[in-house]
Amino acid sequence: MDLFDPSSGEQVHDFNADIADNGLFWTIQIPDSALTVSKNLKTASLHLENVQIIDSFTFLGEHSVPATVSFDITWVGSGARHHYKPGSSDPTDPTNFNGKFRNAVATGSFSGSNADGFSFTSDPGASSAGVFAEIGIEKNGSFIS
Amino acid sequence: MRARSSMPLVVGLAVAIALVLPGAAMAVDATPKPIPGGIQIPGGPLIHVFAPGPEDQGFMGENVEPNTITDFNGFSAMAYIVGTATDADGNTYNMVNDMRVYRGTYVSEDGSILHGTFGFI
Repeated sequence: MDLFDPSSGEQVHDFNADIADNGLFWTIQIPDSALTVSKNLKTASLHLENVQIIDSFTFLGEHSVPATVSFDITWVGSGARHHYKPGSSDPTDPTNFNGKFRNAVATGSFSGSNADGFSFTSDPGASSAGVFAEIGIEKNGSFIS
Repeated sequence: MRARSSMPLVVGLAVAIALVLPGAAMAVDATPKPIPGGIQIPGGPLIHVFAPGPEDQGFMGENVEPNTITDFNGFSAMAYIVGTATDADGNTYNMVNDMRVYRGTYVSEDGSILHGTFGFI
C-alpha cells in the first residue's frame, strides 16, 4: 500500500507484509473468515482489521517501522473467463501456471498507521477501474507438473 | 496430488508421536513456498512476484502468474487499486495499492499438504 506526495510524485510510505526468510514476498496468512467468495467465483470480498505489517517508506526501503493496516476490498468479475495455460515448463517463467480468470473491477477502503505516529485513511472512490484486476482459480508448481 | 487423503495421515502421525514421546510433538511448518521466478531488481534482489496486467500500461501481460506462492491450487484474485488518501493532519496523498488474495491447498516448506488463506499486501 503505497502513498506518494502529489506535488513531487515521490513515494513517502510503503505499507507491506515484508519479505519472509524463505523469500515469500509481501504475503501473510490471514483468517479464512476474512475472505468471502461467491459460488460462481464472480465476486469476492476481503475484510481485514489491524493487520501487523511494516512501513518501509519506499519500495524495498532498507529502513522500516512496525505498522498496522485495515481494509475492505470487493472484486466484481465480468465477461468471459480467460483460460491461461502454462506457456513454458520453466518453473521460473511468469506463464508457468494454469489459471481461469475473469477481468474484474475492485473497489476498496484502506486505513493504516505506523510506529512513528503517521496515520492515513483512503478517500472515497479508490478503484482498479482503468488499471487491472482479476478473479479466478489457478494451479501452479507441483499441481501442474 | 491426493491432498485430501494425505492430510489425515499427517495429522494422525503427529498425534501418535506426541502420545508416545510427549516431548517430541511434531510441528508442522505451514510456511508456503515462494514462486521460484520473479522480478530481478537491477542491482538488487530477485523478488518473487510478477506484475500481471496490460502491457500497454507497463505491466507484464495478462497471462502472467498473479500468485506469490508455489505448489498451490485454489482461488486467486488481485487488483491494482488507485485513489487518494488523507493523513491525520489533512495532507493528501496519491495512493496505489497492489492487493492480492489466495485461498486453497498448498504444499508447505516441510512438504505438508495444507489449506489456507493468504493476503498479499
